[in-house]
Amino acid sequence: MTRRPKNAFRLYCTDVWAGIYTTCVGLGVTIRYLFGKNVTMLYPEVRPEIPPTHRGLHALDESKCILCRLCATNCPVGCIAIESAGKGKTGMVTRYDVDYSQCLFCNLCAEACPTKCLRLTEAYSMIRGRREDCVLRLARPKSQSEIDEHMVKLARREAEKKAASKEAPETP
Amino acid sequence: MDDIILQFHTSAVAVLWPLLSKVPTWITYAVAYSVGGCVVLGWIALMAIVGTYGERRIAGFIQVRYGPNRVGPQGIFQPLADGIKLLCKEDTVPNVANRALFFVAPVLVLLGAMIPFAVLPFSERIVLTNMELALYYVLAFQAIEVIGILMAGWGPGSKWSLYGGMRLAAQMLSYEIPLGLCALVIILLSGSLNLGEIARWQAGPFLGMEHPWIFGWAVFRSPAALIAFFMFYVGGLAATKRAPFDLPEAESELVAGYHTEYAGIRFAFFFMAEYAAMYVVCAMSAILFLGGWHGPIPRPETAEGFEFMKTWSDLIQAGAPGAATFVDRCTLFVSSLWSVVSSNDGIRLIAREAIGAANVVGKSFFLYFVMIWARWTFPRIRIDQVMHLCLKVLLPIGLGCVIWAAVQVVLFPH
Amino acid sequence: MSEANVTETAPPASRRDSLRTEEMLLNMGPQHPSTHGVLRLVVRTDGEMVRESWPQIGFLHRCFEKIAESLPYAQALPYADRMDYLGSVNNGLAFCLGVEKLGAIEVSERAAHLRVIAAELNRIASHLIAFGTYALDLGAFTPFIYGFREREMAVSILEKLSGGRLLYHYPRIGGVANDLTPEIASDIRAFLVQMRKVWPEYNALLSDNQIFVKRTANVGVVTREQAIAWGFTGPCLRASGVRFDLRKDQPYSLYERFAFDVPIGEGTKGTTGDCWDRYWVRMVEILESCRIVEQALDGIPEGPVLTKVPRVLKLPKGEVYVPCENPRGELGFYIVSDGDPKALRIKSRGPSFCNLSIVNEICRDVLLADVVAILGSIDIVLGEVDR
Repeated sequence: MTRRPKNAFRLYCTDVWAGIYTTCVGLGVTIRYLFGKNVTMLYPEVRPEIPPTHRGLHALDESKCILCRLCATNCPVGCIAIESAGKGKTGMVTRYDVDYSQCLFCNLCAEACPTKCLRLTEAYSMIRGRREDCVLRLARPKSQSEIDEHMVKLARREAEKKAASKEAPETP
Repeated sequence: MDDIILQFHTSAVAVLWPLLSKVPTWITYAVAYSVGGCVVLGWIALMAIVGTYGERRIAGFIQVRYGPNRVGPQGIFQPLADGIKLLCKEDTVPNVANRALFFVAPVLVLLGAMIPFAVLPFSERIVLTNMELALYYVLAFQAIEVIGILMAGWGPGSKWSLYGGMRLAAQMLSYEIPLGLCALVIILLSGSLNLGEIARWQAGPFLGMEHPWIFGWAVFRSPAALIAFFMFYVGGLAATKRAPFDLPEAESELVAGYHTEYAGIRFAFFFMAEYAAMYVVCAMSAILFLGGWHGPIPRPETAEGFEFMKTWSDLIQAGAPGAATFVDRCTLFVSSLWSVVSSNDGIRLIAREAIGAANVVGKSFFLYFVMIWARWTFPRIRIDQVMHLCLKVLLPIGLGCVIWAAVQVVLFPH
Repeated sequence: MSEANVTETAPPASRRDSLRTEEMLLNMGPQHPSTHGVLRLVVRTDGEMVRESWPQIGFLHRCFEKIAESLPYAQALPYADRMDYLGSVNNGLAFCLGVEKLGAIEVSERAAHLRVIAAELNRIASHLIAFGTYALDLGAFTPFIYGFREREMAVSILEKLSGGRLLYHYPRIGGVANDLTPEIASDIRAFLVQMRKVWPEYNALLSDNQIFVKRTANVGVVTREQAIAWGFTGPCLRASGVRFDLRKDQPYSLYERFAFDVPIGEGTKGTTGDCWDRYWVRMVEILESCRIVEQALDGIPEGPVLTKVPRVLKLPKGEVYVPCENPRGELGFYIVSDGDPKALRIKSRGPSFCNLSIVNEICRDVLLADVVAILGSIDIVLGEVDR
C-alpha cells in the first residue's frame, strides 16, 4: 500500500476543481466553433482549386512524341506500355497505355521527356469500376488501314531517302 | 391521465349508448392506454430520429463541417434513410453465439429504455400513468437495461462484446448510487416520490413569494439541489453511456463494445435505446431540478383545470337523449367537443398544457444538446477513473447534499 | 469452486488462489481501430489488466529494401517516400542526403533551404496527425478534425510546391523538384500565423483537459535509461529527458543555421517520460518547426534548385549512412554501392520500428485502455515499421 500523502485532501480538491475548470474551458472552445464558419466545401458542387503543379492523370501530345521511350525506361514500376508504327520522329504512336493500378505518380516520366509532350495534369478523379479500366489509353485509337497507310508512307520515304543517298555519292 | 380516461369513458358511453350499452371501464382503459402507449412509442422513435440527426448535425458544426445535408432539405431525412438501411441489412448471427441471449438482449435493452416513459410527465395532464412511486419506479427499472446489456455482452461470444458488457454493468450499477442520492435530495425537499407532485412543488411558494418565478425551481431552492442537479446530470451521462463515459462501446478500444456483433434491426434497437435513455435522463433532470413544466415566468394558474372535460361530458350527456341516430350522436360528440374547446376554459387548458409540454420538452432538449456538445468535446475516461469519480467524488458529495437537504428540511420547512 | 468441493482432502486454497481468474488472449488488430494501420497486438489480459502484449508486424511489408536495390537511385526515391507516408519529405530527404554524400553531389543553398521548409512543413503536418489520432485514440473526435483543418493548409502548400498531397517526391538527388513562388511563400506565412493562433486552442481543448491529463500522465513511463537502451529516437526519446535532436547534434541540410530549441519532457503533469510528455514534446515541436520555416523563408537565397546529375547516376564504390530527424525519430539509409547504377544493398533504419519494440516492456500490468494510449503516444507509422 502506498503511503497517503500529507496533503491528500488538498490534492483531491485541486483535482476536482481542475476537472470542472478544464471541462468548462473545453466546452467553451467547441461552442465557439458551433456558431463559426465551416471550412469544408460542398464537394461535387464546389470544386477545389487544383494547383498546376498537381501530379494527376497523364496527358500525351502525340504529335510531339519522338518515341524515345525514356518515359517507359524511367518509370520505377514499368506501368507505361508503348507501341508504334515506325521509329523516332517519323514514327506513329499506335498504343500508349498507362496502368494506373501501378502508377506511383512520381512524375519521373514527364521529367524525362525531352520534348515535354508528356505531362501529369490536374485531373484527380481516377475512379474506375473494373480493374481493366485502370489502364488508360492515351494514344488516339488508330484503324489498321491508317497504320498500314503510315507504314507505306514511311517505306516510300525510306525508299526515297535511300535513292537520294544512292544518288548522293554519285554527285560530287 | 386516469381522470381524463374516466371522463372520456362517460362521455363516449353517452354517445354510443345504444351500440355499447355495457362497455366496462376496463375496455376503455385498455384502449386508452394502448393509444397512449403508441403515442409514447412514437415519441421514442421521434427521439431516436431527432437524436441522430441533431447529434450528427451539431457534431458537424462543432467540427467546422456540415454534417448530413444531402437527404432532403438540410438533410432532415437522413435518419429515415439510415433507418431503411438498417432494416434492409442482413441480420447476421455469429456461429458461436448463444442464440437465445443474442436474440433477447436487444429487446430487453430497448424495453429497459422504454419503461420510464410510462410515468414521465410531459405536462401537468399529459402523463401516461400518474404513479405515486414514479421516481422510485424509474430508478428501479433502469436496471433491466443492465441485464439486457450483460446478455448482449455474453451472447455473441465475442471478447470485445464481453468487455463492453462487463464495463457497462460495472458502470451502470455504480452510478445508480449517486443517481439515487441526488434523487433523494429532491425527495427530501419536496416530500414526494410522485413526479407530478415534485413539479407542482417547484411552483409553490418560496421565501415568502407567492409565485417564485424561476427561483421556485429546485436548483434554486437549495444549494444541495444545485449540486445534486449537476451530479444527477453527470451520473445520467454515465448511466446512458454517453461520452465521456462511453467506454462500454469505446470504438478506439473495444471496436464497438457490446454491440460489436449486432447488425441491422438489432443494432437499431440498441441505437434507439440509447437515445431513448438519453431523453429519459434529460427529462428527469428537467422535471426533478428545473421546474418541470413550469417556465421561468409564472403563469396564471386556473383554479379549475378540469372544467373542460366536465363541461364536455355534461354537454354530451344533456344532448344524448335527443340524438336519435348514430350520425346525430357523432355530430353531437364533435360539436360539443368543439364548443368546449373553443370556450375560454378549454382554450386556456389546452394552451396551458401545450406551454407545459413545450417547457418540459424544451428543457430536455437543451440538456440533450449539452450531452451532444460534451460528447464532441471530451476524451474518454478510463474504467478505473469512472469508478473513482463515482465512488470517491460523486458519492461523498452526494451524501453531503443529502445531509444538507435533510437539515434544511428540518430547520426551514418552507 | 467446484474443484475445491471435489478435492476435500487437499489443503484449502488460499484466498489469493480462490480469487484467481482466468486469463484471456485477445487479438488487437490487424483490423483494430486504434492500432494505426495494420499492427496486430496479441494481448494477454486478466480482466481489464493487460499482463503482456506482443506486437506482430509485417502486414504492410512491401519489400522496400529489395525494390530499392533493384532500381536506379532516382527511381528508388519515390519508394523511400512511401515508407513513412506521413513524413514523406523527410524520408526522401534522408535518402537523397545519403546518395549525395556518397556521390559527392553539391546542392545549392536555395535547394537546401527549400528542403528545410518542406521537411518542417511535413513535420508539422505529421505532428498534427499524431495530435489528432492521439485524441481519437482517447475518444475525443473533435481535436482530430481541428488538427486536420490545419494539416489541410500545410498539405495544400506542399501540393503547390511539389504536386503531391501525401507522397510528395519533393527532394530529389541534387536538389528539389520545383522552385518556390511568391504566392507559395505568402501561403506559408499565412499558415504559420494560423498555426500559432490555433495552437493555444488545441491546448485548451485537449492538452490541459483534466480527463486527457488523467488518461496520459504517469501512464507508460519510459525512463531515460530505458529509452536509450531500447534505441528510442525522436520525440519519444526527448520526452524521456534526453536532449538529442539530429538537427542540432548532427546538423544536415543547413540546420545549423537556424535557431530553434529542442523541447524535452519534464514531467509537467506526471512523471518524465510518460504519455503526456511524449504528446507535449510533439506539440512544442510544432511551434519550433514554425520558427525554423520562418527563418528559412526569410533567409532563402536566389539560385538554382536542382543540380544537374547524370541521367544514369553511378555512385563510387563505398558505403554511407546519413541519419536524419524524421518526425518520429532517427531515419537513415545505409547505402552500399559497388559502382553500379543500382545499389548493392540498401538498409533503412526507421524510427517507428525501433520505437515500437518497447511496447511489450511498457504495456505490462496496465489497463486495456492504457495500451491504446501508449501505442498512440509512441506514434508509429506501420508503413515504415513493415517497409
